[in-house]
Amino acid sequence: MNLTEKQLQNTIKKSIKKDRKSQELLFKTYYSKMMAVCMRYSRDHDTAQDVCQSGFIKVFEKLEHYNFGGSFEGWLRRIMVNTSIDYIRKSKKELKIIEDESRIETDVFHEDENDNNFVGLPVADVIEAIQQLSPAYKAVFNLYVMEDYSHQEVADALGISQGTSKSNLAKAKKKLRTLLKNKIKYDV
Amino acid sequence: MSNLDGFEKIVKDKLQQQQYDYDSSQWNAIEKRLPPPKKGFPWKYIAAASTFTIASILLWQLQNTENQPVKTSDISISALTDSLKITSKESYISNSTKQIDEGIESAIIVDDHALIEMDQTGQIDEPENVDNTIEKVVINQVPVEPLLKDETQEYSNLSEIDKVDPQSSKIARPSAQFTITAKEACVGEKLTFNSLNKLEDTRYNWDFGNGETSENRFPVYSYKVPGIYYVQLKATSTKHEEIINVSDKIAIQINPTPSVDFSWVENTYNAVPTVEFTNLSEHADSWNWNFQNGIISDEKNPIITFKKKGFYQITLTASNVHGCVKISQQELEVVTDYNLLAPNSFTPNADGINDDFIPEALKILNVGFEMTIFDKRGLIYQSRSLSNPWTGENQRDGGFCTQGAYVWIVKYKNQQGIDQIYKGTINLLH
Repeated sequence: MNLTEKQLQNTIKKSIKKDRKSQELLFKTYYSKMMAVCMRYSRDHDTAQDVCQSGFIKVFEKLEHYNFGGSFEGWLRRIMVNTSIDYIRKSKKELKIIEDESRIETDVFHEDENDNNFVGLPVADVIEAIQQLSPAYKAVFNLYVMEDYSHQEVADALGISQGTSKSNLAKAKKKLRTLLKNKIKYDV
Repeated sequence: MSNLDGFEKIVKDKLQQQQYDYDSSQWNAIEKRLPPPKKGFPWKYIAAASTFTIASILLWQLQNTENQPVKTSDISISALTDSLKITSKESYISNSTKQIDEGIESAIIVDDHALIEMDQTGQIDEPENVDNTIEKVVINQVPVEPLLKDETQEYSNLSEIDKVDPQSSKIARPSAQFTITAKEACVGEKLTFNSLNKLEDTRYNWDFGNGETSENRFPVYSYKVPGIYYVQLKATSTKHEEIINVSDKIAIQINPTPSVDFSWVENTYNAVPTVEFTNLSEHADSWNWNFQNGIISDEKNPIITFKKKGFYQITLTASNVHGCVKISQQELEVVTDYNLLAPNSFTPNADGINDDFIPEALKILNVGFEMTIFDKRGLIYQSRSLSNPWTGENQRDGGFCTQGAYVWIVKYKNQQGIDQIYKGTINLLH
């Protein structure tokens, strides 16, 4: 479902005035994309739905603060990402505890020729693997790879050091490779 | 960022292909949590009140668990779980009323958190993670109350979008926005700076970008030197000095204004007396003269003949491409009438004295001209040559004019090619 720029502006304006139909239209329009964001940060589909719901409620509460200049989808995404991270942060202290940079140097995985085997994996398998990562790994991996954050930005967003961001990314990838390799075994 | 490695790109590509079918039950769930549309019944106030009650009881209970071992507080929280669920649902309603004490809101957040915390500690899903052991220890050692407090602070730090300066939400912040009568103006042009702030108790600090300032709410200011200036307004609440808003720096372009001045030279002894004006204006691209004798000119240095004696207010308007205009006015005195040095009577009686009529100036000017003579009934004589002055002949009936007053009109083009018209009366005497 796609809205023209004008329709979108109208729908947003009406939604600010708490028009239910317009709010529903916005939700319908962006549900798939925002659900995709939430899925990456969550441990399962149900949690993702919860976070996504909370995110949309925040969206409707904050809608009057949206300045019509920027990309609306980008704005939504940012709220979803923040809601997801808040959720992780609220549910676990984990983010702050995994600062063991010393061991990382030896753990860093380099490019692997076998990586190309993953190209054929079903999307659902990759999502499942991401969801199996620990919340901290998930957060770092998602922000860095999916949201194009720099390590500095990841560090700022999560309240960790840059080094921790780097080491967690490396560990996340190592873990993800293992998980994906298992998927291939099962698929074959 | 494009420096993702191959593996990261593969995963990213996969994750971007995610699609989720729309599920209307999701919307229903959200709709239930949204504040009701505006014309709702006072239910929300009742709900808010009940939330307040429950929350305060809760807060009281939580406070009472301070310094107690974890286990007991765990129990008290799980015992309250059912009521907590209710409050967190209603918290959205109460939010919309915006009248609740801050304490309650944080209490609700705490509740929310407590629920999740309970959930999560029940099933930790990362046996592989070394850090989990530490985590468990941490949770078990720290009493519930301080931990929760910590968590709420973090919450407000974390959610960037939610981040609202608590002060700004309570104390109205004066606006530093303003308008200016023009963003491009001329040197010396008065500009009104108009603050859009509507709050009383505001101190205004204007910076006009040239070292000059004002503390007026609506200052009027004019720049003396051309250039680009950056204007900024700082609006400070006089009640709370720390509540300040500073505007962006707004650029104003100030264009040069012409300086305007002129002088003149009178050529009184020519056949046609002229006044030659000299334009002394600077930074001007066009000029408009008004000589108050029915003549206007857009020449830079015009030459003008005044026919009637008297005082003339000469106005010169100089303007430039920026539309900046300046006007100067001076008074000119013309001491004698001038009418082509025409005599006012002649005697066509062939005695050799004043036998014909033609304005004397035409004899000197040496220009093409047209002279016409009229009586009361119309044109009676016309000439275009100095050798054909009027001798009293009536070209209309071929006869000779009787004694009386006749009107003459002479037209010619001056050196600038401008039509010159002179009129006078001539008495024909026998």
